[in-house]
Amino acid sequence: MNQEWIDDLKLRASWGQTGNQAISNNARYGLYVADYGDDRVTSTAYDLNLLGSGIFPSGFRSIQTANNDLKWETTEQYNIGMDFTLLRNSLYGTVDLYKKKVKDMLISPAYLGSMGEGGNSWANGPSLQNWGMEFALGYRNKTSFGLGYNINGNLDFFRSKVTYLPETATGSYAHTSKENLVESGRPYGSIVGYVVDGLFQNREEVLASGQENARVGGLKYADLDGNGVINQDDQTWIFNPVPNFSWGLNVELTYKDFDLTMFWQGVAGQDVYNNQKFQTDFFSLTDPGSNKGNRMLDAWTTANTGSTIPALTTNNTGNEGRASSYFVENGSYAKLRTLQFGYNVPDRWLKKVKMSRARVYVSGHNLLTVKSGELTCSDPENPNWAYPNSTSLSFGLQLGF
Amino acid sequence: MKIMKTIYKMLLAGVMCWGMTTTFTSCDDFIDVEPKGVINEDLAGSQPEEMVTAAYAMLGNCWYTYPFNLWPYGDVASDDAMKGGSGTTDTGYHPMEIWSALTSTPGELDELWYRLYCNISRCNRALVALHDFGEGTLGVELTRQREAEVLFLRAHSYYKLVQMFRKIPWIDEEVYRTNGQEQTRNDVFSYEELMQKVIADFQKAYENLPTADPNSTGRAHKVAAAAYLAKCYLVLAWGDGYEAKTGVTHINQEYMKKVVEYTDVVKNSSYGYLEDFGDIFLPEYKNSKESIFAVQTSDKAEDNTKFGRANWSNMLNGCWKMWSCGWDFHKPTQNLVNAFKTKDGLPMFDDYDAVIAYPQNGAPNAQKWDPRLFHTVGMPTFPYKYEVESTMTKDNSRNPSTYGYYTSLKEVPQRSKGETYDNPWQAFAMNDYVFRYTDVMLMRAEALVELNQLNEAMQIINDIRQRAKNSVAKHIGYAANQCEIALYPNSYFADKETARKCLRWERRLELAMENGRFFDLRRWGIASQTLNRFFEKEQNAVYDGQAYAQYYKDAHFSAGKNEYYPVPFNQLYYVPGLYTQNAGY
Repeated sequence: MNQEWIDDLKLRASWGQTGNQAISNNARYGLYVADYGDDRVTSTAYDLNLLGSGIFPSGFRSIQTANNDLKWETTEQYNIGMDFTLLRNSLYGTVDLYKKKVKDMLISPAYLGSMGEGGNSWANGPSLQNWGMEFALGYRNKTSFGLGYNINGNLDFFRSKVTYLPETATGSYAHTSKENLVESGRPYGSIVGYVVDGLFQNREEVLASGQENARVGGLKYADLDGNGVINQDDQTWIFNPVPNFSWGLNVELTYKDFDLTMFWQGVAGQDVYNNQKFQTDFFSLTDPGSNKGNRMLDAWTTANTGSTIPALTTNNTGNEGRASSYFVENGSYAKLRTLQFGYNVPDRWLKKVKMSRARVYVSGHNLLTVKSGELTCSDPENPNWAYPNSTSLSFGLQLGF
Repeated sequence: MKIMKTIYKMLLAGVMCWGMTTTFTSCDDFIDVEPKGVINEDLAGSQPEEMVTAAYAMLGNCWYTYPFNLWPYGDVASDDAMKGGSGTTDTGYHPMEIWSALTSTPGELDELWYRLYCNISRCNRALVALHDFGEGTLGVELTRQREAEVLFLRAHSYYKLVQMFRKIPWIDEEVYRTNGQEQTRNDVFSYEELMQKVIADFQKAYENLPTADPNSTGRAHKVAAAAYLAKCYLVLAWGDGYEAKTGVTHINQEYMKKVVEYTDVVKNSSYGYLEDFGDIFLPEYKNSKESIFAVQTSDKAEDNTKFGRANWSNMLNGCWKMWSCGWDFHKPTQNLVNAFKTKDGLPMFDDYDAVIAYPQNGAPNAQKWDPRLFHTVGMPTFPYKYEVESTMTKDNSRNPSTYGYYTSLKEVPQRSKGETYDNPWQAFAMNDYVFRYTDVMLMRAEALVELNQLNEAMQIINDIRQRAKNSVAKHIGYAANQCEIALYPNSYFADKETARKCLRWERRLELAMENGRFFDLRRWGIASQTLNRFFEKEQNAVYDGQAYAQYYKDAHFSAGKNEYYPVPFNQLYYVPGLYTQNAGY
């Protein structure tokens, strides 16, 4: 293994198993609470003796159902990797492959309405499996005329699926009418909904659709099972929260006293559920009567039948806010996260002021976003109403004495 | 050294022995720790009295999204009331107003379903506690009475569930003990079987509850159970519920006789008609002899709770700009106002809504009105709830071009008593009647008409009309010159058809805006004809030049489907295949 072109080569492998019991100490008990009147609608007090005032008799209400079989959650992880540095320290990188299994996950799932109060409980339930790979590769050198460069990039991807759900809890996780989350092999966080097949163009299409409360100019849901009726059997998996892969690229250049660093980061093949469309494409889904985005100026009308935006209406009779592929868009992006340009003041000037080091720089963050043409909101990282990522520019001076 | 070795050996053996005995006897005990600072199942379950109190408390734990008095489902869905608010999209109740857009997805239906089952879960827990610990803590007698009370409360919630959704899972204390809720289907029992189970619970309650005088207790009592039994039998007596099998040609005479039997108990009790109709709806007169069973409320200034044990069902129903948090919901229709017209003191059955009319204060004309109009419907120019200093104007309506100018008076107190607001909600401390005496007497009259005992029915109706006639001087003297009401002469009760018409009209006038109108129409099998005719006329409503209620042009009631509300989508979908949906949805 003594080759001139290999400077450093390391193979590594690991295995580990840990437990998690980070939930309340009272998780396994059936619990009650005395609620005289802290909230409006959960009280256990009632004026049984018609006093009208004073302190009424009060009792207990249930807040948790017992589970005496509760136990630890176990995580097991395997990892195999390789680090290398080649060609006189100029080419370097790492490769990693990992697999992580979690079982008996501690969950407090939703419960069926007929259970009434206190239906929630802690249970060991799902098993989850993730596997992924990470790659990093870099090259650094200096050209003959003095330009130094160091370019490194990384790429990683992972795949996730839920391998087991207890029978009683399958209802509180995404499911279609034919398969639950485990049977589908989809990752946790997948969304089930209708598939939108354009808009209804005329009355005949509405009547032929089998869709309840369909309207001309409204969203048309695809009849996936072909039975002429649109109901929960026509829902399918429309959203995958896991991207195909994500990547980063770091470029550092130095020339004489100048330096430039640039960091790009991106995600490819990412689905995004664009909640902003509730306010930009629909007048009456939420806050009817308030100001809306100007995309709806191009909404469908009989004179504008090519539009993909549903016809305006003041009353959401078509119930078009339901989960559907209308809101799922391609959220892939490449962003210039950081760009910094600096100048190191030469030594001969520093000596005069007794400083050891001085650097002036200008730096920018979130300068550029390259996103998919399909995306209708401004930032693929923010399809909801979170505070937007800000672009900033800063100037700096670094001094050393 | 050998001795030391032996001593060590013996010590070691001794320690091991002790260790092993401890392991085999008391290992479990000393590591078993009860949770501290919480009430666990053993502690709560062993106090049945507190569990019963919690079951009562749930009666008042409602919200405008799941009002237990069912005002959107009983009134807004009928020809008595409109939804109200800032517009048709304010809250999710517009589909109930117009019926044509009703699907299983509104969150309000889902919440109502869940909260009624919360009610039932408290009752089931109380039953288990009573069964396991009752005799030890309360004694045999009291345990039996409390069990009867809890069965009453549980059947009260089940009655609402069956009348709303028709297909519901029956969760009793056995299902609760075995945690079988997620395996219990909603189509195991037919509608009639479910109602019989409700009746069985009320029957057990009736047999074991003591009688109670008016204003003596907030607990359930024999007369209340009798009233509920009468109601259950009355609903069953008219038929299956769906119009094809409900109505005059489907009457079950046996059940009608049961109605008379149970309303006899109420008639012979110490409950009775309150002398003034207006008093019934004033907080000062709560728990009067008129109040057979009501959900108790109180104000936060008096009951030491954070927000008050108020009537949260009606929290949006205050008049606009009269209360700082009156959001103007539950507004009477012109059709209802027209129904109060009288000619020679009797209702105008055939042409009541030929002409739109409404009284103006101080300007009497040829049209006279039943006095109960002025107690039920707040109208511009009239004092709001009898107080001249709070006279209503056309400003007191939030969206007159959609919902007109009328407001409901029965569920609000007088303005001079002060605000009860719990920003941004109004927290009225007005009891919600489950049964009042007049309601039960009208049920009795309804059964008597169908059993051809027309004279006694006439007597009841005329007693009620006499009370209405006596209810002018005390509160609505300003409208005395516009009121005219007379008792029915014998000729109106000579044949069944006319008697029935009189009874139905009286029920509408007496119980207007008390949240039961849609259920009455459905029981009689006349919902589709009444409502579809109402939609056609009401869309042309006008008040003083302002047209409103045009949204009714989109309304339509489909018989064979809309008699019952759909099983909520979230419940259907949570465990696929466990529940089936009602016909047509």
